[in-house]
Amino acid sequence: MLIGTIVKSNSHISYLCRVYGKLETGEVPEPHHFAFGNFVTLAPVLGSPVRLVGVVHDTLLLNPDYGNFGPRLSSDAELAVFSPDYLNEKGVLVDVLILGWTESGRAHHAVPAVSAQIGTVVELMSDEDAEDFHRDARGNFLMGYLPPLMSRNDPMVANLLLVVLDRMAPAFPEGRRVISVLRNNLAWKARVVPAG
Amino acid sequence: MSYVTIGTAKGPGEHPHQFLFITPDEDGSCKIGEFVFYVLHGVEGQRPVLGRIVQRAPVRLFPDSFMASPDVSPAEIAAAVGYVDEEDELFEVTASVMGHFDPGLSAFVNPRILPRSGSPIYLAPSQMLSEVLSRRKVGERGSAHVGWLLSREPGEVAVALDVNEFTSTHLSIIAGTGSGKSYLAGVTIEELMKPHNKGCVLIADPHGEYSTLAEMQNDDRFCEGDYRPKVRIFKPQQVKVRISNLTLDDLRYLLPSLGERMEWILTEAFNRVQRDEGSAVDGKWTLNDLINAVRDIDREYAERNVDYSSSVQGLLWRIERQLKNSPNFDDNKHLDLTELFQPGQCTVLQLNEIDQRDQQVIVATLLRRLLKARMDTDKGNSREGEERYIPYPVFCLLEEAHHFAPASADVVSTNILKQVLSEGRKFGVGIGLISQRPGKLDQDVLSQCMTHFIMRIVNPVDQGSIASAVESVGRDLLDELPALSKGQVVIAGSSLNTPVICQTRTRLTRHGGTSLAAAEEWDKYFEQRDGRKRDMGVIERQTSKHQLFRAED
Repeated sequence: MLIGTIVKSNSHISYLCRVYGKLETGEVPEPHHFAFGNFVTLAPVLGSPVRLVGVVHDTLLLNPDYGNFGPRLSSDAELAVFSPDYLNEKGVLVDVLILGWTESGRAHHAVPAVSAQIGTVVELMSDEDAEDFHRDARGNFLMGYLPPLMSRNDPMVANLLLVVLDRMAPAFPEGRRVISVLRNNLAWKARVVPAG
Repeated sequence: MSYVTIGTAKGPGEHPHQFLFITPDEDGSCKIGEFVFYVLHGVEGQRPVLGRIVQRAPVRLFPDSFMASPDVSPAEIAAAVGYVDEEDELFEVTASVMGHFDPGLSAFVNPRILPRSGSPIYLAPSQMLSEVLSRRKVGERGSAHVGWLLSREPGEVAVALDVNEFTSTHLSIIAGTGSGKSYLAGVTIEELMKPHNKGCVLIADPHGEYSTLAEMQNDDRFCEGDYRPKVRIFKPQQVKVRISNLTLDDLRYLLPSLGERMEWILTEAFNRVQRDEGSAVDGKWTLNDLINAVRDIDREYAERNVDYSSSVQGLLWRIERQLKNSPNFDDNKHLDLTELFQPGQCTVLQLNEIDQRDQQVIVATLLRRLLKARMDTDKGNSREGEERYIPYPVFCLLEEAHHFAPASADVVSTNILKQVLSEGRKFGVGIGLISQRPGKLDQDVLSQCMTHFIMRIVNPVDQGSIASAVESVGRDLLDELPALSKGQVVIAGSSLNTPVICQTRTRLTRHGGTSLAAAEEWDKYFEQRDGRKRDMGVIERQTSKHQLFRAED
């Protein structure tokens, strides 16, 4: 499932992806396809075995009409017929955080050397692929991107990681105790510490 | 020579003579008390500067949150978040600079230059330590091999004390109960009695636990050529002090609760017996002479119509009760110094079963006579054949030394002990003090000892006493005292080049001071009682059967 294309970067690991509208793709992504915490994959270099792996971390809605209280010459229904591109300027942007990459079936949780490009297609990762990305060489649960994300001092990150852990837990029954400790620590930081 | 690098210098420590180094310490060699060195490049070439590890602290610690579940190790959590490096431990070690060893001075000289940041730190090789820590080599004349360096494997670095030092500038063995002080004292005595030392030793043994040293006499390890050590054990009833050797202070101390008038009469009587010829064979005064002198004083004052009879009766009652029936005070017999002190002889005075006040007087009298004899011999005032002729140094070991020089009480033995400790070095009288309560031992007495064996001490008052009285032991070593195990000892002072933590060697003779196995003893009582009951049952049954037959008769 293709979600959209990269339109901007905030840093080497943070990108804005514009979600495809109905004039850009035959299968328009539904909101649950680009929901918070979904894993996505990008191919920065065509033909390369390296695929960046990211997670949807934030969503922004674009509306050029916002704040425009001027006279309207045409209704939305008429615009859809006479000027469909004008309507297409409304859109959805999602912030994608790059967590690592996969290469030849092996997951790497680190900062990738190559960056995504403007126009790089962002594709939703299947649940199986997302689980494989969290499996180390010995088959144990791995979440190597946790420390760098936590050091970003972003209040969304702890919640993002909690969502990911909840999704991954059923796939790693042998890592249940480790996931439980990580989850409890994150829950404390995300819910108790800010309230204190 | 290649050395083992164990870390890298980081920089200066908290104190001017300390430095820090960082080490992964994979094999656990950076123990507290271990010796390391760095190389100092100077005009005299390269010199290894030794230091002792005094502190180690981990640099990398897992976050507390990784330890949230006792079932999950922090390393598992670390692996889950991507940290799989197994060499995760890193330590910051503080080392205290001892200096480079100067063979000419036979001492460590502190260069006052710390290692440069980034320079390698080496583990001191055992051979280097063997050469520089001890003043003597094992087995050579004047050496006492008491154990092995604790931070190394047993047998690697021997700790050999300089016998000449501790037998002249005195020794203290300070340890809590059950930490092995009598055992260590036994080892030290064994070393003194070995053929390369042939010591002249006396032990005041208030618990009767040194009798096993007699095994040395039949042990070939203590014999060489014609030499075979002699061990003389004096049972409590054999320990005799001659009445005429008592001073007025001794008498005052022995006779309890003397009133002012009684003291005056005693002083007067004592002066008379000292002045006049006594009734003993050699003209010395006896107890009866003293009693008669007291009665004479009473009579003389009665003639002048002064009634001192009640004081005289009180004094006579005390003299007779304390001295007349005592097995340890005698008119004629006493321990002959030449019998007690001979090279190659270890004399054990068993003082158990003797009242503590009597013990103090016995020890005080003995030390007084000994010091006098050594002074007279040294100054040529005594001749060969006389009892006061002791032409060789002697070493006296006092168990439970806090009984003989307590901190909080004035006892008769304190002053003579202080005198021997301060003057004994000149005249060859060495003292070894053993105590389990340094806090109760007179601080002047403790500070006069120049070699210290300090074993496990937990009591903070006792630790404070050691810190204030023992100059040669650093704070870092004192901090180790509560953590020492049985047989482990901090040795510091003039008998070694630097303080060390040592594991006491195994005794060659049996140890006589073991604790009673109370549970086994109680069980034995019941076994014996049940046995007696069974025997009684048989007797009772036989008796009743016998009585039955008699009744039928």
